[in-house]
Amino acid sequence: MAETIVAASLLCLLLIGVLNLLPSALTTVGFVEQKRAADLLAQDALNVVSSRSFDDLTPGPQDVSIMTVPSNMKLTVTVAEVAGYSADFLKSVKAEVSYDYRGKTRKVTQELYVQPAKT
Amino acid sequence: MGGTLLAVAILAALAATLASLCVTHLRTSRRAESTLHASNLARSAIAAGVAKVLDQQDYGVAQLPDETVTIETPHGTAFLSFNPDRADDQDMMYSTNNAANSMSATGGQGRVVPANSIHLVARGYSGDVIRQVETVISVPTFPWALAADGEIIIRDGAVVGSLPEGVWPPNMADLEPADLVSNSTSDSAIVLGSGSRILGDIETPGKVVLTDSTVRVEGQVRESADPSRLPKMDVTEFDPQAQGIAFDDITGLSSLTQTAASNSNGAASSGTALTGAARHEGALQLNQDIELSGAMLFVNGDLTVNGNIEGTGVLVVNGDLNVTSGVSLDGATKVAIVSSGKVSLRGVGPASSSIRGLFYTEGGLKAEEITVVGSLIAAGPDASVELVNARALSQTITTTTSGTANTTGVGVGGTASTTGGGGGAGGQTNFMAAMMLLTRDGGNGGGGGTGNGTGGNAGPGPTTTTTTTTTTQGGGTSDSSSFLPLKERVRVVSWFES
Repeated sequence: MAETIVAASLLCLLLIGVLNLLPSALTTVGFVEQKRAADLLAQDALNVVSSRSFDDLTPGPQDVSIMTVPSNMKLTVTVAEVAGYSADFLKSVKAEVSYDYRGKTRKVTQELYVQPAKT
Repeated sequence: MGGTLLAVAILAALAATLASLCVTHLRTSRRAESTLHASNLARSAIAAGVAKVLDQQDYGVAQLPDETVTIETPHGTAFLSFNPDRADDQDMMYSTNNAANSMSATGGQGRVVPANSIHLVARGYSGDVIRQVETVISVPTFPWALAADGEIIIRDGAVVGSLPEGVWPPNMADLEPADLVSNSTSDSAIVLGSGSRILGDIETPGKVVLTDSTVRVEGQVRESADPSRLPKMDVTEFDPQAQGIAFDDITGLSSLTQTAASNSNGAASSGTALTGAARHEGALQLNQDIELSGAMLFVNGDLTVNGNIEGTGVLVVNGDLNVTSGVSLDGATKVAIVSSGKVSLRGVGPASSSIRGLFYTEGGLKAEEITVVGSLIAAGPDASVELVNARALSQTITTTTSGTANTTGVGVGGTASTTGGGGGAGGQTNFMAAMMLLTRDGGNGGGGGTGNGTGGNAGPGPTTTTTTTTTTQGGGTSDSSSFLPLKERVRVVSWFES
């Protein structure tokens, strides 16, 4: 009888542990998915803007209305000069995606320098 | 009891798997993020390396330790170095700036770096991820074989390609890729007729028409592309009279000499010989060969040449230019032709007629039955180009010239300034760059010079010395970027990321 009770208790404890893991696992997966989506969106935006004509990249926010942005995300792409370099030859493109996850605003950033050589 | 233990074991395994999956998921995600950052950092270092070279063309040539690009961000670092030792410290290849050389060089790990090219290798580090980007950037003197602001029509088996440096006479078997660009926005911006062959890319903001299946385009066809900026020249700026440069006034042709000479093929020729700066007021028609000996002829009107153009020099025509000849395959002939009107070149067949140099026209160009080697630029609002059974071949041309003691006159240097005075020993000449400078500067450079063949800051090619009989001493400032800025000429020709 005692053995059965001990075994059942152990079983219950483990079951509780496993069941507790499930929500955290789901949370982790959801968080990772959101972050990955934000990363890829930022990278896509970076590629879109950096493929534009170098001379058209004026410092400041860039028009990225061509891109589809998920409703829970906000995308901003800015072009800036790079310290120590002439803006005629090098510019920095920075893409920032902010998104809400579980009531918190999170942010991912990707940055790429671009130069005027054609491909 | 056994059943309970089994259940416990299964649940424990389940819990461990779940936990492991979460960790793996997180780790994969973090690695993917690091890969993006490392890749962007390596690409950024390449961009910074290109920017350094654009800003200072000899950056990296000396392979100094401080000729190194380092980028540090919160996401990681990137590294690129032209110095072999510093690159070795990072266990990576060094980069090589061979932009100013017309010969290939050996780069990191024995890589062959083509002439007029930059080999860049950069690494990006983020987390435990390393990404490497290796690229070759081409810096041609002029990036296209044929460029026009207007429409381009190619028919009757015309060919656009490039001829490797030093190869002469043109041979179809030797041809390499060269690009073609039209800034026309029309639906027939570039029309390629039957049998035409383009060995490189085609680019236009308009449309490309391929008339039938016999048309061969071996590169990419880029329609609706951004317009390319073509060089602009004001023909009247080259008028020696307006510039106050000493010149021979050949109006009426009374001062020209008739020559009897043989060309490099040994064929006898006779015609009009020109040296130094010369000027003709009004239309000029020459029914004989014209031989240029480092000369610049300015014609303030139309010029018609019913004969060959031989030698080395510049023809500036403030009007239309018509050349009708059976030009021989003379390897020594290199000319720059600048016209405010329309240029018409007519030979007797692309295999037997050829002309080599730089051709700039604001009124359009028509080439028939001739091989044109060098660069064709039709830079005017409606400047169109028509090739009829002709070949337009780009080529980087080098030559060796000798300075003559105590001569003064046109001197074009790869360095920012050249001083006139005593003649030089001669040197390697990037002919296209020299002609571009020559036409741009209109003979204002200093004469003589050492001609030692060393590349300089401004010119993509080595120093060149051209002498004329003009006695005017110029300021000696030359900058090839004034013709077509370096940043307009650089092209990424290969890109490898690992």
